Amino acid sequence: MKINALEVDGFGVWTELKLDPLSEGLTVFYGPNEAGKTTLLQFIRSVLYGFSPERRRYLPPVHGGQPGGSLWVTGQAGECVITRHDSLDPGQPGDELLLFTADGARHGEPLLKTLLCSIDEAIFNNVFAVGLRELQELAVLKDTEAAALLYNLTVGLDSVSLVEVTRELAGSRNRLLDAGGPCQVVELLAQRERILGEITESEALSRHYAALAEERGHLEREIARLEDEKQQLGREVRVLDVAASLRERWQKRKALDQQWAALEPAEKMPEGAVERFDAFTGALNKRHRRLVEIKRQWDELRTEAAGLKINHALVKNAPRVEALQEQEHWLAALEAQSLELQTEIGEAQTGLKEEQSRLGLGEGACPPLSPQSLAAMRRPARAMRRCRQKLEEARAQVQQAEETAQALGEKIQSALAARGHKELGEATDRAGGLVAQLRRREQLDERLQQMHRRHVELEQQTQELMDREMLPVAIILGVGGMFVVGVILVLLKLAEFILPTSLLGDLGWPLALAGLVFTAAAVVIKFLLEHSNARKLEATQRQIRILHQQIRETREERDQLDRQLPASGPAPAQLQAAQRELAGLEELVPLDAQRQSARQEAEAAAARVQQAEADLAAATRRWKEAVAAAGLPVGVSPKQVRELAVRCHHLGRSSERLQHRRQELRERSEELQTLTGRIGQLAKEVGVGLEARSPMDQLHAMAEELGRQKVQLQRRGELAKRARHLRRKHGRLAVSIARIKHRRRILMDEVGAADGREFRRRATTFQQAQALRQERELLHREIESAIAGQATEAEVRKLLEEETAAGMEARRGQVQSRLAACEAQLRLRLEKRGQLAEQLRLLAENRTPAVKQLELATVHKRLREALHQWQVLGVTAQVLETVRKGYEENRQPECLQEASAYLSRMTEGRYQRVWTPLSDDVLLVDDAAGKPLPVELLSYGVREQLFLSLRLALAGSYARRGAQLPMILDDVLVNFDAKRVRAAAGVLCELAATGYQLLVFTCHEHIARLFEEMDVEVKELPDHAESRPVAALRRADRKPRKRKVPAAGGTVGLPNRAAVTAGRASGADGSATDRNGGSSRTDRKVGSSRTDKNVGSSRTDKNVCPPVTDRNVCPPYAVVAAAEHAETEPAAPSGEVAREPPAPPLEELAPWEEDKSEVAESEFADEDGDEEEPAEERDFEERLTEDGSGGAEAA
Amino acid sequence: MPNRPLRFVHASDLHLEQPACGICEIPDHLREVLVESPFWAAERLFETVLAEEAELLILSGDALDLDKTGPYGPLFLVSQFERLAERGIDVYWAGGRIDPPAGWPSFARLPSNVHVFPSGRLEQFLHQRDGTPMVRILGASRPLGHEVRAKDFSPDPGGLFSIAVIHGKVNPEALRPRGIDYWALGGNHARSTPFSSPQTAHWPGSPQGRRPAEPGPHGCSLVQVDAERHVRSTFIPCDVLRWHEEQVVLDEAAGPKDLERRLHDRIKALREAAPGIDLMVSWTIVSSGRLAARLRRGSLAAELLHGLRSQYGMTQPAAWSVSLSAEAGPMLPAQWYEQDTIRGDFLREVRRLQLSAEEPIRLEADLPEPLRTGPLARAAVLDDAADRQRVLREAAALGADLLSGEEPLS
Repeated sequence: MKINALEVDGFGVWTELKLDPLSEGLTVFYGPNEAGKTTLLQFIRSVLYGFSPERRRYLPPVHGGQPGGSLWVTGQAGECVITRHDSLDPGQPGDELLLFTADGARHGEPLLKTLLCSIDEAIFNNVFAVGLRELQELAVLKDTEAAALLYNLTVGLDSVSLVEVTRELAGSRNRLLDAGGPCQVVELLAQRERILGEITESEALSRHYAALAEERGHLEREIARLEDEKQQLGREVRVLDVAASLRERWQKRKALDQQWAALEPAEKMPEGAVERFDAFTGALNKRHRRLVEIKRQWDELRTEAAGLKINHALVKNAPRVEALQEQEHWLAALEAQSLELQTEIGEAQTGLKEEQSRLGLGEGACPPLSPQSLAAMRRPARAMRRCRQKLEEARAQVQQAEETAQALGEKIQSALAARGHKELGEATDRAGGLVAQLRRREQLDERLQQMHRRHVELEQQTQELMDREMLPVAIILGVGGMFVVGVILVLLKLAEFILPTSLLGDLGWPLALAGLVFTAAAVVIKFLLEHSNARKLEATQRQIRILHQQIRETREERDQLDRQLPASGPAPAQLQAAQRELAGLEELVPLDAQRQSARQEAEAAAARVQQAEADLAAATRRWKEAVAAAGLPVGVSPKQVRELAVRCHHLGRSSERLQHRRQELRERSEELQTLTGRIGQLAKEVGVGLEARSPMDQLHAMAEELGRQKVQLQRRGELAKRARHLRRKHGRLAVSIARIKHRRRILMDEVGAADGREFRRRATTFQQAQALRQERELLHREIESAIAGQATEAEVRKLLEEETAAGMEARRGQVQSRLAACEAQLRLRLEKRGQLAEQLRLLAENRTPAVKQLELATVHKRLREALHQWQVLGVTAQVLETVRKGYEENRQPECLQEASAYLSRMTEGRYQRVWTPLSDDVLLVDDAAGKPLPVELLSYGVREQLFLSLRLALAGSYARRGAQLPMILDDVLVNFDAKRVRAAAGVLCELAATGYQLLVFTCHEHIARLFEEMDVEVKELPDHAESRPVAALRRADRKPRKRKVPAAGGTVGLPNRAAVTAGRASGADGSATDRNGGSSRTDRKVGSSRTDKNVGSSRTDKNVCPPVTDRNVCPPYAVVAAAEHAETEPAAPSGEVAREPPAPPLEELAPWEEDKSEVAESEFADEDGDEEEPAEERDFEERLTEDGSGGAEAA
Repeated sequence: MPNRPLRFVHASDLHLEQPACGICEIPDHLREVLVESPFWAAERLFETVLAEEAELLILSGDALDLDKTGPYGPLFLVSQFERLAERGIDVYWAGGRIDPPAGWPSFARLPSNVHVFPSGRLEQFLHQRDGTPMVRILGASRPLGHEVRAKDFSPDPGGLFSIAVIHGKVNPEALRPRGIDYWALGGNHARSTPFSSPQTAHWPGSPQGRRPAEPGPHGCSLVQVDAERHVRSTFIPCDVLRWHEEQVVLDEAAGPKDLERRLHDRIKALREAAPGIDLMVSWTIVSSGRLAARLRRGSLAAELLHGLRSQYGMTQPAAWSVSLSAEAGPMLPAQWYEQDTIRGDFLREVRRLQLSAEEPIRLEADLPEPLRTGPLARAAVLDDAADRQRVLREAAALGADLLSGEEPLS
């Protein structure tokens, strides 16, 4: 976009200022201080981006005029005019933008944004339209797109900060290994050293164990020696003790030896000879006693055998007796059966007689009842039973029906008696008639009431109709009005014939016709209304007459009913009582019907009784005939016949059983007689039981006697057997006595004894010798057992024969004390050995070395891992550092490369390069030696040259991206020395030559002159403080360049200011067109050539004055401007260029001369009254300073 | 020449002084097994000798370091030797690097069935069965000295089966022509057999793996010699703690759930394959996707590790996950190397260093001044080629992760 012209309607000190045309390249505006250069800069900002609060301080215009103005621009949408005005009314919305294209179409913010290539205000204010203050505030670009152009070294596809990554790596490495603070590796090293020390200590375990083991071996040997000594001493003590304890027995054994030696030598006595001799003697004595006993028993046997008597006949017939005895039970059974049969026969005869008498058969035999005869009697018996049942049922029904009828009749009679009636039907009819009359009476009353209400309504309706005979006022007025209008219209038409002028014009006849219609309609309506009312009134009166007739008839009927009804109270009460009476009587009607039904039922049941009695008589006759046919007595009943049929078979069987029993009784009597004869015959033969009363007793007596005879026979056999046994024993005893005597003789012969006495003497001597020998053997065994295991016999003999008892006791005491000392030493060494064993066990089980080895290995592992991680982090950091250096050297942003070229030219090679490190969004400047310097260390002038270079480079960057906007530079060269101003001017000229539009404001005449020398168009701003009406412009170039301007009055042209104003006033949507046919381009031509080089002498000579208007003079603004100027620069009169401080050679300032440059900065900042910092901006910067994020940049 | 079969057990490198290590964090419930695993494995070795009814046991050095085990080690060995002595089983022991015979303590007297080869000179023993020589065993303990060379070993002139027992690095090709029937070698913790016919040289490996770098089953070798002098060696595992290095390869689209499922499946398979043995598993995840970056930088690896440990590491026997790391380096996307970004420049610079092996990488400047002359000085120089490549590979992954701006550096 390029600005072709501008027109200030009113903004700050400017009113009706027109700058037209503007060069497409470089244009320099010269004006002294307070000339309004910054105001123009702010005006352009305001038109493009609106009246921001900080720019509203230029409003309202000092010299009047409508706030705002217009810019004529050429951009992507062609030529456009941008107009923005402010209403200044707090109640109205703020500024208003009008944007018209060449075709006259109005547009809005979107097109303006397109023209501005989407450059936002911050970028425009700090890159394209900059003053001295904005130029020095590079930090303002932070967080803007421009910053990315400068510092995009650290951003890109990675989307991470290399610095952050490096910082992270450093932090991680420091956590692993850091000499200054706690870190993992150092801690692990410390742990390693500690564990190594512990391992070194644990390695002494083996040596300690070996020493202890050796000590234990020495101790074991000592213990063995002491145990041997202890054993020796103990043995010695035991020998002494044994010898002492054996002293007495030793002496006794010695004495026994001497006694045994003193005995005479005895005869040879065979072993056991005495015992055998005694045994022989004892055996002989025993056998003699047994012989005596056998003889005594023999005598007893003979005596007992002589006492036994035997019945030989009985013994001979013993089988017969036993055979009869076996039939004893049979005999008893026969007797019992005979008796039982006799009893049974008697009972059967008695029972048979009773049964015959009970059945009515008498003593005779029972007649035979065949099935046929029974079947013939079964039918008459059944018929007779059914007839009898029917008769009983009929009689019961008759009785029940009569009882029911009697009960219902009593109930009805009692109810009627309670109501005072006798007959139910009569009472019911009377009550129903009364109820009907009372209901009719009530209906008549209701009808009378309805007719009265209808009469009242008809009376009211009649009254209303009579009232309507006079039409209502509204209808009368409406109809009358219609009539009057119609008449008037007719009269007006008629008046045309009289009057010279027509009152109704061309509508005369239609209106007259309408008047006639209205009049006729009014008359017809009135007639219809009145006729309708009369007809309705007549109908109503006729209805009233009919109603009167009906009322009269109804009353007559009601009176007649009243006369018929008993006068016992009001009609409703009578009706209710009558209804209750009728309801009570109606409840008795069903009971009466039931009573009638019961009577009819009783009559029917009586008929059935008579019929049943006839049937029963016929059935009885048939039964008697059947009984007679069966041979039975005529008087038997069917029940008796049925019992007879059942018992007849039973009586037959009883008679047969009786005969059978009599036969059986005869057989049993015969058998009993045969058996009794046999018993009597046997008793006679054996002579036993003859005196018995019954055969059974005889048989018992023979059996008992036979038993006794058998016992005696058996006893005699036993006695004979014992006699034979005693005889054999006597023989054996005699043989044995002879054999024993022979053997005793042989024994005595062996000893040499002649007899038994001598044998006894010799045996006594032999036994004494044997006793001495046994005693000596016993003592010897005791001594040996006492010595056994303790000492040898020789040692004991030596001690007992050589030492006395006292000597042995003294010697034992000595040995015992030595033994105690030895045991004490041994105990000590055993305890020591136990302690050593425990220590050795603990050492042997000590696993500390392995545990420490494990811990050491773990620490080594962690240490290796940490060092490996540290290596990885270190290598990563090294590689990243290499990458960073490469970026900073070779991959600086293009914008900075271009800025480096500008800076190098402006500083004539003193500073070669401006670049940004990867680590931060800061700028560094390399001097000619390549030494990087931070911006803060540069002198004030060099910094401004740097910042100007950056702005030009940024503008170039935006231009390459398609966003080419004019650059407005406001006094940005004031701090440059002459050489660098020239160099900067050259840069600007070259930039303009490449197609950039540059508007340069300067208050320095030498700068303006310099640009003039470089054939740049220089325009001088008018001094608005003077009383000249319009600021004049002059062209510095002697060859004014032509600007492309649309043809005046063309169909396609920019709207003129009037159209713009009209459009703003009407709020048109842009479709309004300039009727005057285009704009007056000549109105915008306000500039003129500048010819006078003496810029500082007289401004009137340098300007072409526009027509004077009152709006250019504004005393209040002059006062305000003077006051502001007095505050900012009290000693300097406005517009005195001669008071400007000479530009110091800033590039030569050393860094430590920063204070001077700051002073110079403040001085320059206050030089122009328009540069005073608004309060809002100051506050904003203070906030930035307080804010941590923006503090550095703000500083 | 033996006419009867011979069975013996060959073992080496018991290293009773070295607990199982190589992990950064020791779980309390596994501390005992880590400490005692060499002894428990050695006990299993001796039980194997008894169970297999071997005739003799050959120990090829490095049984224990007496200084580091304390008295527990030699007493343990003596007790085990005595168990063999009760069954009449002879032990032939050649000392290794850490167990020279001269250093054997006097308090642990070796039983008579233990025959120790002297240091520095060759000695032979004739092993007899029922008075008949069965095998000729010759060997030497370390230090070997100059006088003991491979050519000093020669077969038995009488034709007896010859066993040479020696510890250390040897050239199998130098041993092959010596005619020894069985070279019982020691000094290699991994089981290997350089040659096996007609003669045999064999390293049985350590009975117990001690670090993640010693994965798989460990044990001893049961050697059976038949009447024709044919040697058949059978591996018998003795370890009580087994190390595993498991690599899980995932495709680019795989996510954490896929990885977790694969890990669980794999660890279940390992447990089923080795029931009754504690497992120590080191996981390496190979993935070219974002999962690898998440594993390297985020908390995902720690979460997965915690899950595996809590589910499988606390049981009895345990399957403890030692570590879980993502494979770095060659799996980075190739297009990253071509991008005109800081990451691209970084990766290109790393690749240049990887290709320029002669260009030194020195980190002394990064080392704090007091530590430059200490034990850490070597860490500042990447002079080992493998270490250098590993560090560069991980640096490439780390830099790529950091410059990708996905997650903060944990």
